[in-house]
Amino acid sequence: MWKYILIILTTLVAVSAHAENDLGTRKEVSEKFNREYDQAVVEAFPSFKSAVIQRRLQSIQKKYLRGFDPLKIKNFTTLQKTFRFPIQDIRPGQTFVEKEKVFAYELDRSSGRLYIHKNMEKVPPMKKILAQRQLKQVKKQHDQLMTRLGIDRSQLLFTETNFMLLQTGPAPGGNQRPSAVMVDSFFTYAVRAIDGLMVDGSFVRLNSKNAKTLYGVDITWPKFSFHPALKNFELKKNQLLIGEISRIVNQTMVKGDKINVKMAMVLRPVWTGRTLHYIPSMKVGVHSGKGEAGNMFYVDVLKQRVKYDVRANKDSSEGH
Amino acid sequence: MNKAFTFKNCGWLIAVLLFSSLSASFSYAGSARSSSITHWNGECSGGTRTWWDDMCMAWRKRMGSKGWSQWWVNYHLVRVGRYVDPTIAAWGQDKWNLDGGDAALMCTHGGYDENGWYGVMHTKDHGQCRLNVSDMKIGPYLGNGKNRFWHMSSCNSIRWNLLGKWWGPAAGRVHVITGFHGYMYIGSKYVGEYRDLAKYGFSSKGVGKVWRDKMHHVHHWYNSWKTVCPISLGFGYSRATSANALNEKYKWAYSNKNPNWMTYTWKSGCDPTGGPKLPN
Repeated sequence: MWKYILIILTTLVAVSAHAENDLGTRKEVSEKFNREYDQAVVEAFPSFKSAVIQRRLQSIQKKYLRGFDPLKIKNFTTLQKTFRFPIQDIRPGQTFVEKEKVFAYELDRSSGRLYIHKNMEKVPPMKKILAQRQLKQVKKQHDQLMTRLGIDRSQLLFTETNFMLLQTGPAPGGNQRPSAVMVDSFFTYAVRAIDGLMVDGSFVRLNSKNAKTLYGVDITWPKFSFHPALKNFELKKNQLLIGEISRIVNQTMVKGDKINVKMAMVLRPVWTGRTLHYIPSMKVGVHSGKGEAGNMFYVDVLKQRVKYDVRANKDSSEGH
Repeated sequence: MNKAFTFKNCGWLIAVLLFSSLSASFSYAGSARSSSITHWNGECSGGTRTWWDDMCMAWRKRMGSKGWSQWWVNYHLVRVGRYVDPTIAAWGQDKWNLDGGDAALMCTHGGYDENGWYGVMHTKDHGQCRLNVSDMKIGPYLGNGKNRFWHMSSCNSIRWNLLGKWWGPAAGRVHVITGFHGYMYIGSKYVGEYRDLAKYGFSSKGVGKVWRDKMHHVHHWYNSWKTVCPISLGFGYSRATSANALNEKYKWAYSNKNPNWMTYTWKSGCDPTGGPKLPN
């Protein structure tokens, strides 16, 4: 315990000069590697003040007492009309509709999933120079579509509109040359926030072949509401959180490797039966310098424990 | 890779239209196969990733729900001999393992050296803890397998500057190979993405493009952010067939082709941890 307190005090001195978002790991630390795992965790720990966060969470709870469900596509008829699919009855309980090789769409209100795909394979890729000219227009169209769907700028933490590229090259030994890099599609990707807090697992992906042709929508934007059992949002002490995170890091990373640790306070989706709610949680990403896949996990930040489903399933060693 | 432009835009249009008239595909229920490791408690070393088997299994089970048979070997059974082609090493048995399925997903730590990607095994076999790209030949060529889709949930499995190393495995006539440039992460939040790969790639959208679109995401930490950078490779006898391989669905099989051309697709300027930024 004293080890953590000492490291925290040392780090606080270094932190005080920075004016960054106090919900996440400081930028300066985000590229840093360390063989001392406890130290790495402490340095990556965000600089928020617990009492401030508590008030902020209480304010969000008060603001969205009945939940916040901005996505305007709430039934299949609206989906079919909005995206110009043939109007057809969908049987109760069905969430995914597909005409093979032609289109597919999905609407799952419980998880906030909205998906559409229209087959545009016959539309050829575009020269980059032409695509560059259309990028601004596509971005505007995607912004407008998001707004029409109920997702306005105030709900976004991050957004990017860019290209998916492709290039074709010959097998080694031939005398032919690779093609130019072509633009296969345009996309917009966005990450959600509620009152500045990242909503983990909520995203928007929109795909267009060109400025005239939208062909893909992939959105997870569930209704936001806190877990109904949550009361006063009192946070665990920092050293307790750091200890919990350190334990997991020490258990999962190979001793002696240099590691990088990043953290962000997020609103984490959790399921209780068929209902999705949110709880405040620390998202932690750890990866080693030697190239292993990173480990992403959550440590819940509140003193109050609430029940939710843990949907981990161990596979068997073999089967067929 | 970025050499002079030789293929005119209208060439793409003609090629795509021509190919779409030639691209006969047929439907059948295949076999989905997977291997994953969570704890490296054998002779080979690796950090613990408890959710990796969930990610692999979510894909395989969704394929199973579509009528495909499932086959898997995990954990201590993940040894190099299962993934090596017998034309490369006599002890290789890939056709009885993942290469024996129509689509396969491998979930393990990865790395790279000058020879390309290597996957970290659980237990040493034939003196090796690593499966090297140079040991692999994926697909039906000479009857040593049948795989059309080879997926890797593994860091640097398709590292940009080593992308050409996949020509070796592609000689087996695999249609599509998918992986990552740079690092990727393991955790509960990714399980759904692997399920979606099966759901959306099954019969409506090309598997190579589902991989590229679904596996790309931004890891945001408020003061910094990094991107996960999936890459898909499609192989074919011509430029057009290799590009069209990225549109192949699990259910609708294209014919096997000589891999004379490879089309690779990626997110412009993708900037991952553990690798340089991809070309714009």
